[in-house]
Amino acid sequence: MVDRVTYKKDWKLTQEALDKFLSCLSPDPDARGAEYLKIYQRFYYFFERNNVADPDRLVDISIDRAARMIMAGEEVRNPAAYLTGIARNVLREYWKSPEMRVEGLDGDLPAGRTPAGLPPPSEEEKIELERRLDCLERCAKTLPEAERQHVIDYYYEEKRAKINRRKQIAEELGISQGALRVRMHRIRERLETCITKCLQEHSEAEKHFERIPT
Amino acid sequence: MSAIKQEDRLIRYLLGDLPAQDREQVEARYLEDEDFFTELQVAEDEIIDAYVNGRLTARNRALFEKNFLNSDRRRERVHSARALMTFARRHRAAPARDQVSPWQRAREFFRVDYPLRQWALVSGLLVALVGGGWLWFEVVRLRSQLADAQAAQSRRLEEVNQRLMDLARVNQELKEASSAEREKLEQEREQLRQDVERLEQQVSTNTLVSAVLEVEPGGITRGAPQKQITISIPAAAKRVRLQLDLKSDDYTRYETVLLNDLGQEVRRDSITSTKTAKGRSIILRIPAQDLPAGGYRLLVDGVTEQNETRGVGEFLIRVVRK
Repeated sequence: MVDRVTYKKDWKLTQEALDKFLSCLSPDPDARGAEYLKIYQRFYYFFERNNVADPDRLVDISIDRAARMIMAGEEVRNPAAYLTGIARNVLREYWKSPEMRVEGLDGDLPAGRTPAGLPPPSEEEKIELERRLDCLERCAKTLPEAERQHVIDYYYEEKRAKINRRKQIAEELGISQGALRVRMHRIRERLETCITKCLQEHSEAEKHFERIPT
Repeated sequence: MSAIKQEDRLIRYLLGDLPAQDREQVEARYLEDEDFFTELQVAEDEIIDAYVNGRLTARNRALFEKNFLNSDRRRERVHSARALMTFARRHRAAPARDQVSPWQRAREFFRVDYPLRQWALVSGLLVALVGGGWLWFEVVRLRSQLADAQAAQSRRLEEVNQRLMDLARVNQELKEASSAEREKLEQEREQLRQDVERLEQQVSTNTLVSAVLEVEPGGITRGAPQKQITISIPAAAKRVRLQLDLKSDDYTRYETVLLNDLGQEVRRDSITSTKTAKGRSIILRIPAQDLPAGGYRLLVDGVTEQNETRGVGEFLIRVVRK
């Protein structure tokens, strides 16, 4: 049994190994960075979905292992498929390791953390929502006006009219409803990143003011 | 696999409700296929929205809370989704911004969803009401004080003028009186002189200087001043009052121009005559700061009903600052 999920002690990721790994992702050197980020995001999601407490560590281990094998002469035609195999092994080792203390769910899906769920909304949570809304208002202003209006129409919850409204937006944009869902997801991703940044700035500002003696 | 089946499969994967073999298939596919991964993320958006809007069945809700909400990132996404739904509801409820009247905007601003703004509005109104009431009271009180002070000032000026006239009369009588009468008149003159001094002192301390000029009836020749006077303005004086007594009031209004010794216009007034103890007079009230020490020329024109202008007075004034 492995004590803790790790990689071979004597091997460290070198610049050369990383370059070789990246060259497997794309023949175009300028596209390699973007490809790396996409792969990283997918594998992070995979480990997170499998209730790993620190998904980024396991992604790093998987990539290091892949790079080591490539340096050792392994021929990799499909890096994503190759990395998938490695990631599954890393995950299995993680489940067997002592750092996994919680038993799997119904003997099926292992749980890395105690499921928390959302607590009932408290006064504090309402304040938090208002703060988040302030950030969202600010972030939404960075969107073009038409896009902002589409976000409002798309996410306005009104059971009967919702389907027709989304259809209407798709027609306006001249895209399919599936493409609209993807487009809204991308906008939502941007907004969520902006909100997170805004909340961090709020939190830092609050800490700053707390330090000022009254 | 149909799109609905595919979506259902992804939802079940996200809820942790797929058998192990199916789960591995889904994972293998999204790890290798970028587009499929996007589909999974879109499905994640959908299930989060369904949870936030209470559209999940009891079973799925329980699975969601147990198997999905077990990472900080996903909980964070749920909070952001709740904010996004509220944002859409608030903005959708209000018509497009450019079609909204200012009153509608004001109503929107103080909606029930914004208790803090409502409290701020109520507090602001209370402060404005109390503060405004106090300010109004203060203005009324100060106006009343100012009116009293001005009335007292006018009374004193009238008194000074009266005493000066008495003094002139006594001087005239003195010239014509016998020695006994002269002694009596001398005493009277001394008394009057003291009165004038006292009253002038009072006027000075009330920071108002007054001078009286007489405007002769009929026209004048410009460049030939009728009279030259000297006004001594104390440092504390705020205003100078120039009273031009009219021997006859033949015009609807009067134009006055005050020029300094360089010929530059200091001020110009268009005024009607007012009733004073001397009959009809033109009264100019000039801020003392506008009259530095030096020589001035005051030109007075009368304006007829036909709007014709005629020179009626010209005075040289020497200002001395104390």
